[in-house]
Amino acid sequence: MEVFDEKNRTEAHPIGDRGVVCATRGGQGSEPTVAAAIATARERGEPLTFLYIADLEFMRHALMGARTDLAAEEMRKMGEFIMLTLVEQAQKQGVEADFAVRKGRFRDELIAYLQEMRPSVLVLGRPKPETAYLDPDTLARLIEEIQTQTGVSVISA
Amino acid sequence: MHKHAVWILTISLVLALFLCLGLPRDVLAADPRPTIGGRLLDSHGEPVYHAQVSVWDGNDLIGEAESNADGSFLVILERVPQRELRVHIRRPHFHDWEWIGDSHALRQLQGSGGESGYLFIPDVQMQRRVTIGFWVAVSTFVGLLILIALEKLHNTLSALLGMAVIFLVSYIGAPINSDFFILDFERALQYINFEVFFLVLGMMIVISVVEGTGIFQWLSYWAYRIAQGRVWLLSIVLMSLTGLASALLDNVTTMLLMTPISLQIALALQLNPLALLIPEVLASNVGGIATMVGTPTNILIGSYANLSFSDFLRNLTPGVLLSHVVLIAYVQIVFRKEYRSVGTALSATLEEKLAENARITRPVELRKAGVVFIGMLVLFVLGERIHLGPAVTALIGAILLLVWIRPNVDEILVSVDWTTLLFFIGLFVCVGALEEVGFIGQIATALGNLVGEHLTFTVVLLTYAAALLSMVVANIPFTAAMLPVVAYLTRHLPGAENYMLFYALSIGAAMGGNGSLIGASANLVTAGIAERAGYPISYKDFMRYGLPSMILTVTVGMLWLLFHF
Repeated sequence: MEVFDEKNRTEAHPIGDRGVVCATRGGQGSEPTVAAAIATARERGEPLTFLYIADLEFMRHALMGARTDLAAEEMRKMGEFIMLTLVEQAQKQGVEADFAVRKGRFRDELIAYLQEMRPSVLVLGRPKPETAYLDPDTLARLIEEIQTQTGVSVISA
Repeated sequence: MHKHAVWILTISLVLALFLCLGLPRDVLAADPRPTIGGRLLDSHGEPVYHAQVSVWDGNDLIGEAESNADGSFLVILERVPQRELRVHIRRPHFHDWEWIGDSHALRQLQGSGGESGYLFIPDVQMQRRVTIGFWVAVSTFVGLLILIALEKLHNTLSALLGMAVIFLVSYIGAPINSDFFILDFERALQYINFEVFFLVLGMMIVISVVEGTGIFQWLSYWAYRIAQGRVWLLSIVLMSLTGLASALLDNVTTMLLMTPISLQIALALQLNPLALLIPEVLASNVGGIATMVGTPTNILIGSYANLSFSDFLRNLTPGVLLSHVVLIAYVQIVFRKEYRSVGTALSATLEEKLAENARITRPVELRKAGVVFIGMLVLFVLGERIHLGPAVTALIGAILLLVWIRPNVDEILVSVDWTTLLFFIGLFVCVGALEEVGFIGQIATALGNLVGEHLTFTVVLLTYAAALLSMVVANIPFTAAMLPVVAYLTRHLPGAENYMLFYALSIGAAMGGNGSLIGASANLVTAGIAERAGYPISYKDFMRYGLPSMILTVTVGMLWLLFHF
């Protein structure tokens, strides 16, 4: 999958060895993760960035007429809106917050983002069977991979 | 410029005169040679076309011809047979037929009073033969359905693989054993419905312009503003908007546009987004069949049965509207708890963001696309009076729109979903193979025997069977395979000549998609977007709401057909 081009990519300011990144898709299932990310950022006194990755893998179901670029654009807008609600939530709790939206395969984009932004901590959701995007084994492998490839500490909440 | 136009007009007129005056004389000139004519039918009384009819005088071949689409054939002989008149008819998947003429037949061929001889062979009944090719064609189609259902291979690749298997077996297997033969390339081309191909292509080009304008997002946002927190009202407006959009665009594109903005609206209202998204996708699958261009299944049905856009408007749209009203009532009942509780107002930032996400992005293109689209709708309706088919209208509309807005043609061509068009080609060949080997004829006969002469029973059976099968089987291949079966029933069932069975198939195949999450591509795309926003739609959840709605809407649509016809 391609990444968003300049037009439809939303980036937070580079963090550089500090800051907390929370990779989330929003929704009720992500509430504990978001809460943990806000708490972590507050404890560390670091800015918080909510990262939304629009994985368009589901578009393979679309047989007729559906365009991936159109889906990407709509997902970007939706991702921005969802992330903005989380930013407001964090700001209400006194945490400096921003968001970023990317498109592509979740794993690849997450690692690429962490390598670019070099935050100190990544907060990831702990999967619940009914709402999980990643199953526990995949998540464990992903965490290991992130730590090896980026050196960023991972909190699974 | 003016001079050139005069020249072109003159040349065209001369050509037209030449064709009108010259050609018929050649074509209709009486041939002095003896001829043999007749008609070939299968055991169901259906014409057998493309059969090779050869006439022999002892061991000498003296005439050869191919049977026509209506089963008729006419063989012009080199001479009147001197030794023995033998007629041999051969067609793959049928037993060979041979006839030896008696002295009376020979006398007829000799003619009398200076006129050339003519021999008419009464209707010849050809007997079907189940070959290895039969089983290969059936297995290939079943394999195609399984591959699509299990998502082991992309839909288009599955259909193309099916086509490749059929050609491979026909060309490589047939020289080893002729029973392997299914159909050749030339024959396969005849099964490709180019009307469907060009109608889908034209609509895709127009949709690619409309979908990027933001019109549906803008309308959804205004529905949210106008509803002022009354979620029941908002859901009615959004469902109706989705239904209307699906009737004009394809369902997947509609849900791709409607789902993200509806999700944002739901979050703005602190409402579970599924309470808006599930009703919308149900409305999309129902509304899609309101017009001939709303779903691929309707395009297939309309093109195959030669039904016009107006035919769908007259015979199906009222039933779809009734189903839509019933669906709205159902949704209001099952989601009443969710619709009662709405949240607090949005912050100024989020309100601004929502408005920004729902703005019209390309107003000039929207205006032009709107004008062309309305023009296309008028031509879709009125075109039948001047024999202007929907495919030609869609192509004209698409080209005029492109010329008017002058987009980057490369970008537009990239936005055309060629994979879908290739899917149709592969599918047509696979279904053609089924027809060629006689499988579809067998299904038609079995169904015909089952329903007897009971039209009402047939409508009920066809609608519900199509709906139930569409819950688990991809409805496009299913519809494509059912078309010849429905055509057979339409020809043979008393009272079915009004094509109501085709509309029954349309209702069942499309509304059946509401019965399960995998029943329609639009369901899966909606679920995919919702899942990426943290609101997954499980199979169980979808079926809990979708299955009762499917039974309700299919029943209402079917009752409409029974009442209307």
